[in-house]
Amino acid sequence: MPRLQAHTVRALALLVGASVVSTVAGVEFAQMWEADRVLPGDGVVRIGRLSEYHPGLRNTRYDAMVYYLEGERPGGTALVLGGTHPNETAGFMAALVLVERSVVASGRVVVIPQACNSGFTCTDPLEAYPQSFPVATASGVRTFRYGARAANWVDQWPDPLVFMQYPSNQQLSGFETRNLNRAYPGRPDGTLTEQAAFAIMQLIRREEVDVAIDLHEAAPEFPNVNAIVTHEKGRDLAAQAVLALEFEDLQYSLELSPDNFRGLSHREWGDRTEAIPFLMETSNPIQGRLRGKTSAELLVTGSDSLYARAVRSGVMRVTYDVGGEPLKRRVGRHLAGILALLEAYSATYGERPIMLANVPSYEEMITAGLGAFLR
Amino acid sequence: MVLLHWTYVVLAAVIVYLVVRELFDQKDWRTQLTLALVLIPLVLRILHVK
Amino acid sequence: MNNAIRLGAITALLCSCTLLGTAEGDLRLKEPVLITSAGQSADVSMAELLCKKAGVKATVLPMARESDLKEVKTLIIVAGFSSKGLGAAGVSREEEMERVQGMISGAGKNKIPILMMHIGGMARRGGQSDDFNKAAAEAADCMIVVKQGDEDQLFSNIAAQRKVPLHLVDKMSGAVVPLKELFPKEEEKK
Repeated sequence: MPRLQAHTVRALALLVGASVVSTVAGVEFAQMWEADRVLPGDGVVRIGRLSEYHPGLRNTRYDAMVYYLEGERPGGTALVLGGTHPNETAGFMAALVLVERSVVASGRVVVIPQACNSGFTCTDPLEAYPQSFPVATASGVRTFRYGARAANWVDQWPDPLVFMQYPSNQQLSGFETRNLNRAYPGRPDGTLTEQAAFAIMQLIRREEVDVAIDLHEAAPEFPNVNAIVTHEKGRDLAAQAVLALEFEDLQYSLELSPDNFRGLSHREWGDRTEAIPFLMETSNPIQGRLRGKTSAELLVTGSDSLYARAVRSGVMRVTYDVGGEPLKRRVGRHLAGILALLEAYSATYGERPIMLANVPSYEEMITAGLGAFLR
Repeated sequence: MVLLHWTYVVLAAVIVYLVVRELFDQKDWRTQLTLALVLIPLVLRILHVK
Repeated sequence: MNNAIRLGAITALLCSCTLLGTAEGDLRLKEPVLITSAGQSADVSMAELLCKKAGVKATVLPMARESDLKEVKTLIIVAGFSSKGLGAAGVSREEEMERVQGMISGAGKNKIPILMMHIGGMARRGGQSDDFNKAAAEAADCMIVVKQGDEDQLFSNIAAQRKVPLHLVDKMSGAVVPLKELFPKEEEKK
């Protein structure tokens, strides 16, 4: 048998090493494929999937769970979306509280806690994001995934150099092709992200949604945090909600959806369906560029010394409380905003009320913590 | 869309083959190490892991 | 003679008492009201709602021009910048500032009093907003400002320098009170 040369032996050894590293890394990445545990409460009358509205999503990771809550008294229908951007945790968590905790007194509420389901199976590269975070609940510590901003690359690859938004043909950066909140209205034969957007539009039409709320977060330096963005159809309702929230000492700024920025939920849902759309933003330090150590602790506590320094310096405009922006506060704000918008809607459209019960108030959320309201 | 996706997967597989061939041809250990590292994300992408 | 002096003194005292009331008590504004924006923030919608709650009928034109001032008796400028708003309106900062200056100039020419409202708090302060805030404040005959937006006394200082009334309110909803005072109804005036 010919003797192997040194570089060949080295190549074999490195190949084995690369295989081991790939396996270890692969096992770790695959841990994010396991779905988060959702424990629907008594308010949920039916559980479905997005593929009911577009069969093309069946057997794909885009086929998100849909929870239907219905009251005894008839009324209107609301849609609440969390997890459009899986790295914006308060949206997912607020929607989860609704599923696990709330009941509907009048009307119906459809909740999709993880709208971009594919994005929960990975994190954004080069950000050192944790793959998960813990929440202490009565039934023990539950762990939830912290996903990427957009869908998983392996579900939709390659990204184009330039993303041409359908049907506006607005040109955006290539990675936006996987961003659900640029894909509306979507199309049944488009990319999987566009198909998911199409399914949500179909849901809005078929379920005759009256009010549609999309929950988001953004970096503290983003100019539109702690805001309610409204389509012009919802201007009056949003103004009423902002004033009502002020009585609870919750400040929100009001933003109008620009009609020349296409593909976003608050624009396309309003233009193409009967629903009145709103989008809400809270301040999430883990998404910011100024942040220090990135960890699950930062995600949950929202406490970052560098952001605190930025605020104290007075030279930067950041929406950050020096005590931190904990997850419970952000979830509390989202829930308070949802209630205020639904109350404004019900007061205006008295014949189609949408009333939720058993939803923790902002004060209750701050006092007891998020875990107290999850099963 | 699907065709483009699998075209890229095949392209990645071709690159993996070329990288492995180069790994065995190279005599400098630093270059071999770099080639081995380059293999990892390519393999994970072909297997649809990451 | 002593009676005359006494009468003169009492008259002078009574006249000075009427002047002692703050300038806030003197200004009365009239409808029709036009509400416009300086900076294109959505606070114009909040201002419209506050006017409704105060019983003030107003037309809202975020992109109003000088020509829209025909038959207007009061101009309300809601100050505060929004990048989304500017983008939606399809104008640049410079174009928006030009429009605002045009409105201020038009109001001056037609002797239309300007009420400036700054109700967005800290969210509508800072580099991008303050150009619009200052332009509106320095032209206003009266101001309603949420305290959070005046922590550095920007509006208080301008009001003091220009000797115009400034209503500082704790919250947006508090603006209803000065609005009712500034736009008294006929039955209240009697």
